[in-house]
Amino acid sequence: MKSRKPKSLRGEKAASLRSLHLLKEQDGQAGLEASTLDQTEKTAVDLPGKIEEIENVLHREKTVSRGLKEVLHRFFTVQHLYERIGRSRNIDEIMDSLLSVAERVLPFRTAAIYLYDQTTGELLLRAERYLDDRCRSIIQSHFDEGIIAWVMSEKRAVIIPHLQDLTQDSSVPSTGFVIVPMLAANYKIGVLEIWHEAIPEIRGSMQLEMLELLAKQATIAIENNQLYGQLKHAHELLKKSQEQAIHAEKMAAVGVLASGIAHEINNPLQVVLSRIQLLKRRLQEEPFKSSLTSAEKEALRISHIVGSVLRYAQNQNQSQFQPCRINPMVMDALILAKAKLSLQGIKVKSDYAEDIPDLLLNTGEIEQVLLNLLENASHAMKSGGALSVRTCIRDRHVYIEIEDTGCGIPKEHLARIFEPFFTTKAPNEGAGLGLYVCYGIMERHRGSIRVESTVGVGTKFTLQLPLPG
Amino acid sequence: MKKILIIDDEPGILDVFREILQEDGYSVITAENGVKGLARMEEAAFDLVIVDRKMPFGDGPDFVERIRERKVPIKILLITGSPAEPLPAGIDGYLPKPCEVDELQKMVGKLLEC
Repeated sequence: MKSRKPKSLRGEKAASLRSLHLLKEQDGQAGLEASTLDQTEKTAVDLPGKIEEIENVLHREKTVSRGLKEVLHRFFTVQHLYERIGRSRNIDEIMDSLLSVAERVLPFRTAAIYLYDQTTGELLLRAERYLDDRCRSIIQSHFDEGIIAWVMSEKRAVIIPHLQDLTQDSSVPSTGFVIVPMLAANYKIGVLEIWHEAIPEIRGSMQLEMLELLAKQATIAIENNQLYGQLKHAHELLKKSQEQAIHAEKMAAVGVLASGIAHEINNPLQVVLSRIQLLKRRLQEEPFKSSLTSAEKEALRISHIVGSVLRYAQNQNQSQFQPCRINPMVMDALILAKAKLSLQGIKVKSDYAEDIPDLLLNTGEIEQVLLNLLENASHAMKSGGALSVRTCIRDRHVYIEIEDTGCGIPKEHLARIFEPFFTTKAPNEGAGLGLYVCYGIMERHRGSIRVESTVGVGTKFTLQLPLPG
Repeated sequence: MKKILIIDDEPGILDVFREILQEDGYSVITAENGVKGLARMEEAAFDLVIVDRKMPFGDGPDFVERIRERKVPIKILLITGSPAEPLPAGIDGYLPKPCEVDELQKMVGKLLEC
């Protein structure tokens, strides 16, 4: 088509030049300057050729220029898409960008991205466009027949014609899959599967190359994302271990301090308690008896509080697991939290299951969890309320339930409360690590921590610990 | 009459323990630290010594070690304000501070009846 136009142009120009030549012959000057005429004739004869030649060159240049423009346009499109993939922040966003971009490069019928589960090695669907059951089963057959493994070893995009089309029509199948491997430097990331309607047209095309480039870019983005995730995780671990080290140092100091204070309190307390009890024996009549009974009760309460502080401080420095009784531990935590709870007008109800066997625990850590939950409960019931603490045994597990009638936790916060640094408290009231640490402690004990909450009704935390054996 | 030596740096404790144990019919002598306690033991024989764990000038474990070195046939009851700390070898019983009057009487009775 394109070559016809210059041919016809060439014909018209040649005809007009011939007419000009005839006019010159008719005005009577013919033969006067034979040699000049010959020369002119010659020039006139060559001119159409020259014009044709120039026109051909111009046309070729136009075509090249158009091609170049097209290539440049594609280059900028790819560059833009590259950037879009590279800027994507998480894997889902990268996958979504890759599919959108792939659709612009090669309008497809269906596309899907499968990523390897790096622990099981299984290929899992991560993102798709227009994927129906039929396509899904065809893609599954690629997995089952080892096609994916082959594509991975080829390390390039491969076209797999759809065999069903072959059987229906003996000619070359028009539909099929383009499978683009996504390979990182040392491991396989996944595959991009595209079902295209005109497979013969894209064989060896620039579109195929572009798809490979885009998949490569997405692979790099995923790799970076994973590396960033690993770095973030390592950073969090480092931060956590730093916090633990600081906490351990602090608790060691608190332990020494508490032990000293306990000793200093216990000496005078021994005198007070013994004197009260001696007097009580001697003064049996009222009102002395009831007054002394009350004084004795309070002196014993001081003794329990001092004992709890001492045990708590000592347990914090105890990093080993040892057999321990759950109920006394919960009672100790309640004694420590009771002052604050009663100041806020919170009524405490407790119900302890009998015959709970000793559990192998890091007592300091479990006490830390209990105190944390009691502290949160008191925070949630600033204008009073009721706190229920229960222990029970169900399905080979011990459960500790701490339930408050506080403000409750909004649904959107509920899923995030065990995340590090998640807090709704004011900056000086907490770093958002309390529940995160609790979660880690319960995991180390092969147990769990669960939360149920309704805004305006209250919150229930349930700790689950496995029974021994 | 059974004789008891009480060693504690807290005068209030010495007084009240003496009162309790004297009411139970024991003969009670007191000392403010381990060094003075050893001196009392040079002067008389005792059936039981009640000794505080933490004291200036000869604390409880140090006192217990010296007594056991001398192979003196005496019962030793340690009273401690830091119950979680490991107990020294050679004692016959211990009571955490603060202990109740009943607990003290029962423990002393038990140690002296054998």
